[in-house]
Amino acid sequence: MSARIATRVYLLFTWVCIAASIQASGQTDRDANVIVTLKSLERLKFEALEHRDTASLEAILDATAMLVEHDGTLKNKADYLTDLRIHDLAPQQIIPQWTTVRVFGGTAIVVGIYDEKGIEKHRPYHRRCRFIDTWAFKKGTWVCIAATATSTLS
Amino acid sequence: MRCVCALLIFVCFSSWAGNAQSKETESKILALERLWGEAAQLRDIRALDSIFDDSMVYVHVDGRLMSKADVLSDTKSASAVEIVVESSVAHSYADVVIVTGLLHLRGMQSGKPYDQHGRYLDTWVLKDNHWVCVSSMTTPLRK
Repeated sequence: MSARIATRVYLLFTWVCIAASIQASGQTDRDANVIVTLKSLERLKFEALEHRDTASLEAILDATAMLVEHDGTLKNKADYLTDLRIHDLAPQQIIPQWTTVRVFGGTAIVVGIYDEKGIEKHRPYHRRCRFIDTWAFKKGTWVCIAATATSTLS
Repeated sequence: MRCVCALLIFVCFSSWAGNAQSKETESKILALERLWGEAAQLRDIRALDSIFDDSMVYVHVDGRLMSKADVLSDTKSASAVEIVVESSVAHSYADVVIVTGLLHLRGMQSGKPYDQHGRYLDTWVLKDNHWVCVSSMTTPLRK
């Protein structure tokens, strides 16, 4: 009798372990896919910024996105895109140097450094910035809901 | 006609309930932000430990990239710091809340006084029914 109970407990325990590992591996696979997606979206974002492609940025940024520029200026999406169109700033090259992605269900953060060169007010500039972007999965797609950067690196 | 009225009432109620819940979440997060400021000044490591996610990424106003462990050990060893939050706004998106604000930091580092204004952006995530901060960056304000 006790041997039968022990067998049942053992089978139940094995089943719980298998179910947990399947769930964990499913989660890991999903997170790995999200990481790939977000890394390509980040590349797209930097290319769009480099070419001042506001149409692509329109799709990447959520309507309520909040953006903190490297000098601490806070902008909403509309201000950010308008400034990119009319501002006397021409980024020529923006290279993300490393990025790391952390996924929390339907939210993810991307942390990294980019190197930017360009012309601002007729003068060349070069800055390295650390950034954190927050992405949310909304209506079947990942959108950037917040972005912050600092040119102070230590 | 009755069905249309009932549907309209349902839609209005759902929208009102959703907004009320967002406001409640935002107030909760702003309270956690205040707690964070107080805990940092009082060097209450236990409180900070419960506020920060284990995988939190923190970028200090001086540009240092820090983990949760770094922030806690820095808070333990740092000399007195005065943190004045000058403004703070929260925006909620389902299970994530973004907080932006201005802060004024005054203290001593490596024997030298510092006085810095910065804009911060924090990301909070709901994990196991508990709000935790997963990232925080403070950008120095250029005058």
